[in-house]
Amino acid sequence: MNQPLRGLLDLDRTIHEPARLMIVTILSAVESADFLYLQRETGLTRGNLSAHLSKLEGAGYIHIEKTYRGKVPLTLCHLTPSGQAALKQYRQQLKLLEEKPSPS
Amino acid sequence: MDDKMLDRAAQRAQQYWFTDGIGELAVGGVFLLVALYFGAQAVLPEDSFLGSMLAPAMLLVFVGAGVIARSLIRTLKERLTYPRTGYVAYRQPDKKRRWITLLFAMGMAMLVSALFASAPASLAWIPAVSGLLIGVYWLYYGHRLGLVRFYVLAALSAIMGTAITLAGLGEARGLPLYSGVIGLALLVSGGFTLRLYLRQPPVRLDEPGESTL
Repeated sequence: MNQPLRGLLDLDRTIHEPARLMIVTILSAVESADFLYLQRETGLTRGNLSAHLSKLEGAGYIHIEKTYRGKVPLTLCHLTPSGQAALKQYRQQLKLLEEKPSPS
Repeated sequence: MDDKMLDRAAQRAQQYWFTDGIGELAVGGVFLLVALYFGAQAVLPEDSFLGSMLAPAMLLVFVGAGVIARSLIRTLKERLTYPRTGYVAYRQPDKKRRWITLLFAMGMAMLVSALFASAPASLAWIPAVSGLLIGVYWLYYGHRLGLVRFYVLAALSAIMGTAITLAGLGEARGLPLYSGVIGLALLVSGGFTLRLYLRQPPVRLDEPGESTL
């Protein structure tokens, strides 16, 4: 395997999955977002979104807070500092991979 | 997913605040109130009871309109937007950024005040200066958020302010006209955006057999 392609193996697989990458990217732009908003933006089903959020929470990349807004229950998701750092690193790695010329 | 797509996804999250047009409707209302205030100032004689009350009431009108608009936006979003398409909280600007904004605003206010004080004839340029400053502000937001309608509002603000000044209406008649036109433009823009938003189907709340967190 050539060197640039080998870089793919170093990518953070938790974030590399498209749905989780989308979730983390959205959360990086805001303070927090609720389940409904993330479902609308990602187009995932509730079950799928729940599974991805659980995985990200397990990795320590997001923090999930169960709260109320008035009488309405709210599931709020925040990106943690380690999630922020992981996304930054992932994007840097991806950029490097794109810039590296493939050996001919 | 490439870098541009990720930037676009992040930008969409920031656009969400403006997705329902409620902010524009509320700010449009504030502009109309300001137009009424300046209109009353131009029409009412200074020695009348109402006319003499206008100058001291200026701060109250401006701050009150801002507080009411803020509360209206929060209430409408809580009742209309968040249950339909979800809730997003935005980061508050840090202290450094708040200070920079405050110092910039104070610097601009002092610069404009000094200009008008040194040459009273330049008061006629108030609509043009307001139009350009507000236009630049909307241009910045339009660029940052990728919202085309903000470019249109920015252009309208700059053109209206400059046209009113060049037409020789002066600040007494020019300011209410400028505020009124911009207020109406914001109401149209906000109303149109709200209509489009309400036409979108809300997110499905329940799907049997699937669980949330």
